[in-house]
Amino acid sequence: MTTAAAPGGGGRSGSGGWGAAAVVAPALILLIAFNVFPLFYNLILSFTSAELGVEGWTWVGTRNYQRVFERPEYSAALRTTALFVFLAVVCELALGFVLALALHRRFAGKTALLTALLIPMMLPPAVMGLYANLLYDGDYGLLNQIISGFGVAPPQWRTDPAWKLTAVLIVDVWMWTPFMLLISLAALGSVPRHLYEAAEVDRASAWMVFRRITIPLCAPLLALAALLRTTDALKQFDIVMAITGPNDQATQTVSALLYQGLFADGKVGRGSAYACVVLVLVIALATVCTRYLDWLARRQGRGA
Amino acid sequence: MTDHPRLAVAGLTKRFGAIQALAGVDLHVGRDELVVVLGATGAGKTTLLRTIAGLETPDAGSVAFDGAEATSWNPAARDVALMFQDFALYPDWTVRRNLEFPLRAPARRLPESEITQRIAWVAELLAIGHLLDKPSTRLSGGQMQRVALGRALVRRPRLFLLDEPLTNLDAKLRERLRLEIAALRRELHTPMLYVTHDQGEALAMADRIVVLIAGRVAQVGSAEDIYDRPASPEVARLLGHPPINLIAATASDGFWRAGDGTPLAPATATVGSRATIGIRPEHLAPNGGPRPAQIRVVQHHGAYQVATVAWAGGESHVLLPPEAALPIGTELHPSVVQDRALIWPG
Repeated sequence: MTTAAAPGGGGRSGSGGWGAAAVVAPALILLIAFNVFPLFYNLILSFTSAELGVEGWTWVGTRNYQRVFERPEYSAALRTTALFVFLAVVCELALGFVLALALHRRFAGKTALLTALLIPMMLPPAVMGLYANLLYDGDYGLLNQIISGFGVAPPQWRTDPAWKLTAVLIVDVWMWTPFMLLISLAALGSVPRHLYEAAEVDRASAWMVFRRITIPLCAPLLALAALLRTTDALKQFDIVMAITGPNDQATQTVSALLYQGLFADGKVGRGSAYACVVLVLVIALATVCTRYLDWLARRQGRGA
Repeated sequence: MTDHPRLAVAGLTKRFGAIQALAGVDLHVGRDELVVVLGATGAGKTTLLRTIAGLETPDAGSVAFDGAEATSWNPAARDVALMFQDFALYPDWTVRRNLEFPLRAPARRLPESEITQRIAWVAELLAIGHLLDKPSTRLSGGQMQRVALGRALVRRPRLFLLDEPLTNLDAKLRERLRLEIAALRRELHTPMLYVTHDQGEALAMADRIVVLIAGRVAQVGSAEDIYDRPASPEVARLLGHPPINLIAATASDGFWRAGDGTPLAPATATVGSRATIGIRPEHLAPNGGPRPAQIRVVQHHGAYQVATVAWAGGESHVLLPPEAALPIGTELHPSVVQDRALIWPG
């Protein structure tokens, strides 16, 4: 394919150029209106004293940024988010992969079972969170009734600070393990059968086969799934809102704190400064991740 | 020592959907024997090896090692080394790791020095020493094939199963490895079952050739047996270059005659009975026969020339001496060397 073959391409005539511009314009306008403009507006606001419900604002220099770095709740939210993301992704990946190993064979009702497992992933997280509240209820919740049935004193999931983050985590794992399961099944299915056969004839132990063949060949796809889940889990907000609300120290993720600061406390300037800091961190993390994916792709490409 | 063969296969049958891959194969391999299974593509050669290795479960029939019934054994218990036709190298690993893998299997517990020694030995044998630290996915087809062969040869198994091990190699290397492999099984005292569609390999290497046609054993015997006394026209066609001349004939006047009446061989059968007559090109003398034959194509093969002639109602191959300068269109009078025509009535 050549660029000259594309309609209106090459800019050979004025009308062609305008035609191309007309095609691109709607997307471009939307992009500027909803992505580029807010980004810069946010950057400007972060250097002002803007507050919701307060008329007018003044330049305050880097005061908002100083606050963000001084006040403990900001770094606490980052730590909470990091812990949450780490635990969520690790649990989901491990559980999903183990389940996939168990389900990676033909059996009657496999499709029905997989479909059933996927239902939580298809529900809105807020709905899942509200649903979970019913299960978590200290006195009437199904979960605690089961736990008491074993003669163990059940935790107060939604009020005990030691358990709140776990409660959020459980819902997230419940929702996203099926996603990891699906990707893991695809990864396992992509390992060529003749490698397993060769290993069998070579008298390799099951552990050797798993460690030397299954894991390395599944790794690239699992890494991609983990990255996708990481970026998604970084934004954790809905489940936190549903279970503890946005202003609970034990579960205050970055998104929850931003919501609290901006919309509940009205501190637009400081919230914007925090958003900028988080943006820089996310860009740094994303860069590392994409570099890693590139490296994986290069390794695969070299292999092919 | 018992007198059980190393491998005995009886009545092996395997069907994949509509395809009958194996239809009652009987076969045995002695303790120091190199048996070549010769067959065209799709004859069931690979299925046979995979069933012996335990990767396929037969629909019927049995596999026994040293007299012990092994049909239900898993591949590891059979302790055979299988070289896969599609190589099945472990991707992303270096050649060295690929070769080491079977030696590091927990059942073996080889000392590190022994592993190093065997890798060095097989690398030298197959001329892959310079590739040892390359990832297996960056090799050419011929290199991959040698590594796959090496991965089988480093082991000291009960039996080697080699599936077309030399097909992708250049002629010179193939020639050398044929001899090396044949010598190797004597050195290692390990029998081999060697599958190929290449008649040259079969003739050069085999103690015994098993001809497999459409999932059935068509003939078993030495190279001479099968070349000189093929059991059927199909077997005759598998061996020999240039290929054998096969002509449908009818008995009349004491001769098997081709459709145009050309006499091919003396016949004692009743007049009107039919047969397929096989004449190897080297048994068809260019002159001295009763009927003319025009040369259509001449191919030079160095030590001899092959002429394709219009004869006996079809085309036949005749061998000519290398110095004969016969232009296309020259008339020959081919005659069959006495008693060398093969006759399959029916």
